Amino acid sequence: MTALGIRYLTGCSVATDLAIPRRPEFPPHFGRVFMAMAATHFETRGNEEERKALEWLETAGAPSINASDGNARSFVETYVPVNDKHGGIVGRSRQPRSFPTVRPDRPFVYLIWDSKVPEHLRDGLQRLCGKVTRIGHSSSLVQMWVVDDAATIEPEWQPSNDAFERQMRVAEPGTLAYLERAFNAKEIEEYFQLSEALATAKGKQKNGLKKQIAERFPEGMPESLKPTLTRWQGYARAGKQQIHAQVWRGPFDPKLIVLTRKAEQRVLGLEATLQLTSALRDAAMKAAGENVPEWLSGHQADGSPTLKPHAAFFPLPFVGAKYADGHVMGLAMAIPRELDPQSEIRETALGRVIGPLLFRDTGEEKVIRLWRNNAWKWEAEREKREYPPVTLRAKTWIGPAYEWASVTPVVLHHYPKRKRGSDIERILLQAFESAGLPSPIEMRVQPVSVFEGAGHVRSMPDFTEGGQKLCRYQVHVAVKFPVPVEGPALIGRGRFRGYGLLRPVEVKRG
Amino acid sequence: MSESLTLEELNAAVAGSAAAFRSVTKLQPVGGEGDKVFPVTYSGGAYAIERRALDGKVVDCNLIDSVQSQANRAEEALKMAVERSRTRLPLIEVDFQEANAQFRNPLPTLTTLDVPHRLADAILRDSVLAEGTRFSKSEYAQRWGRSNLWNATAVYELCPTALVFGMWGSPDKPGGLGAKFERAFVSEIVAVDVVRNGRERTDVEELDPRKDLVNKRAGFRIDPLNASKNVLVKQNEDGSFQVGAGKIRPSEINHGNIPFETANSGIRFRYAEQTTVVSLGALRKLRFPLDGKDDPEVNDAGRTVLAALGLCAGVLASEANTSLRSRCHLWPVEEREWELLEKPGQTPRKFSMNGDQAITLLNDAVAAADQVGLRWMEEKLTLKPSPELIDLVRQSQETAAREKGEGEAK
Repeated sequence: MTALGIRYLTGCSVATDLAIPRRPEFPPHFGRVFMAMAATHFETRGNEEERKALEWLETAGAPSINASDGNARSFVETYVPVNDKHGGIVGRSRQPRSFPTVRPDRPFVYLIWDSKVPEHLRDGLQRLCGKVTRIGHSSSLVQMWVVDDAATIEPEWQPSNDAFERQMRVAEPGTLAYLERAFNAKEIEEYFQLSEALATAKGKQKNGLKKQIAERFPEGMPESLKPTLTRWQGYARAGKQQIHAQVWRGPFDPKLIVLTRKAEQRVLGLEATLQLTSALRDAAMKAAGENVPEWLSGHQADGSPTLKPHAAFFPLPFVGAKYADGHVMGLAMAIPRELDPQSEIRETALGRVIGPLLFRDTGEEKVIRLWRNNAWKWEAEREKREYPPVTLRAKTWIGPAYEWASVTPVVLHHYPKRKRGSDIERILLQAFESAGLPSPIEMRVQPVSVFEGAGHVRSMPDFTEGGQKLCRYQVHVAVKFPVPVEGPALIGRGRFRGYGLLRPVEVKRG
Repeated sequence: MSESLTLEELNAAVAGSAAAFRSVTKLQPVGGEGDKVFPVTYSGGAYAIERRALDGKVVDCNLIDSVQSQANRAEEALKMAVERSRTRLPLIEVDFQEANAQFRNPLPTLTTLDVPHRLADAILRDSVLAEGTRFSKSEYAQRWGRSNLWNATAVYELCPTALVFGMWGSPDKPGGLGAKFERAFVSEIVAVDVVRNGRERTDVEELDPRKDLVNKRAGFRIDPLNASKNVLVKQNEDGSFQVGAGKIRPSEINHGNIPFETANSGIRFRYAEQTTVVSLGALRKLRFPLDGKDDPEVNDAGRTVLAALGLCAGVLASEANTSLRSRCHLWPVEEREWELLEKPGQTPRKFSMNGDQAITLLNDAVAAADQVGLRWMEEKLTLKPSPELIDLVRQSQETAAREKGEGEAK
């Protein structure tokens, strides 16, 4: 076994959670630690032994982590004076900056691997660890070392692809080479050497060097590029992982198709849910051509509703944050996990049916036009940013998580016989079952969503599709499941059109 | 039991593998334990609050002074020591004495210990040497502009505090690119087990139609003249005013009660804790080649100077700068000790030093570095603001004055 120890010298860690920028990241992700080690190696021109140690480390896999819980400092913004514009000492403008900080209960963190670092690399690894001075912001000072007896360290977080509570960035084979390219050490070193030579040169030599620098580096001094690691690994608490090895996988594929509203379009609230999702469904059906499969249309060949799982369309509203107002930032399509097994293979089916909605024949991405008569028009496009807003990230809506709550009201399948909570709950339990989800062990029914911005049930229009005589009774609900559930999760009538949309409550707390 | 830190021990710590010197000191208000103190506030008057585990329970804590503010105070303390001839530091200053004739509000002489970005600050960039060369184009700037971790000699000579408190910039390229040196000195003060002074409304206040104001407005600056808001005034251009002729209230010309709108009106706490760290690891990344040659002895000497400078700054700041802001004056209630953090799990050795001892240590370290050829700039370098900088300051002050309605410039 191998373990690396990290001591936070000031008692605090100052590092931004890249998934939720106002929140501190703790425990430090292995990816962040690896980047700190690599940066130190490059900055100090570390030797071949250190390099090989890093190359070994990036192949060692995702480590277990021993780290306590911590308490995040409240988010505040500091205004720091700029250096590119000033009014002397008067009127120098200031830019807001934040330093997300957490004070862990214990100022020690350990990363633990089952594999043992090769003996001939241990010294190099120790030497490199000894040179790492910070992880995160420059004020997040640390001491780092190779632990003598890794077996004595108990993991508290373990890598898990099933019941994970967190996702953390990790290093993988090739990460070091990528970071080296981003650091750009060779170019920077070459520039400095030429600059040093220029400083003492005279005459023709000076002119020659000036020309060489200008030709070689027309943009001036080369810079290091800020690297980003994109490989994430799920982590679960060590105890919980043993108790709940299985995640309940809902009926939809968690790989959502996320569309983002183009910025200049009209802002619509959740009350436009049915209009938006209907418009998107119509666009998808039209793009699919003549033979629209049952899993997209939701209808059989004779026009009757399908009994098989079919696609759901739902809004992605800005909810669950301090100034959230529920406006719809994008739309999502969820494809059923199980398509008809007798049809063509899944990828081909998706490509044939959904592809034309998103791409032209040339492979170029399409702008998807949605509208409702003269009321509104939207242009949407596939979300493909590396760090989209939280609302537009698939993992915001899929968990897995134990606790979920409604964002759009749940429409009951039939009216409660007595307007008492127990009858409503009974109907809701049936709704969960119909939706392919487990029965909750705790349930709260209320008129208002727990998510800020999602509003009261009365702020949503009745779900009228399917006929006027069908039930329109709407409630909000917050539940806890006995096992982690992987979404997306939609229940009740209208769930294929965005009503009854649930979201993990853990994301709300972030 | 703590020891005195000698130069030899400091040298050994720097040359070895110890991570840092760290001091964790308890403070109390000078008004006595339990007295109310006003911490640093952020946008909207918000406090930076956190929680920590203490004695088996979780208690509220509050940031009193930030990392950035503590660095500023440490630099101020060093500046005071230089002004009182207790020690010497290489300084670059911008002298506004002549230019002040053109300003509405005179500016003091600003040194590399005053300006926000130290050697890389725009004020230095836009100032000139005595013979008229812009500092950013001078030989000084060309030397330090080529600095990096592997050649920090020029920065060491001109502005060693930049290597202790951090710097990132370029002599002539604005916007933070160029030479980058991470900070080696980090200090923060946090109040532990806090009671915030926001108060509940009384029953009488609940009935008051202004009850939201009562809860929000935690205090007033009371006007001894009791000027009434209903007596309107008109302000003249020369700053005088006429009663009854205008449309503005007395409060707009600073007469009348002035409320402050924040729910935060100070804290009380069990104790405050100042944590100061001088990172030896950060200093070990620095090299100081002389005449193109990299010498481990010279490198260690330079790093020892910087370590001593960081310790000195921390000690002097804790002695001189205990009054952090209005109604925030703290005092250490125990002797400040510095732990040398070597092997994790090992009990750290402890050292103590007062201001005089810290200064002696610094001066001895500088002398030792001098012996191996690594020297600070001997004389203070005085710059004057460039004509463009003078013009910029003058216009900025005029604009600020106009916005406040203070009339034309002299």
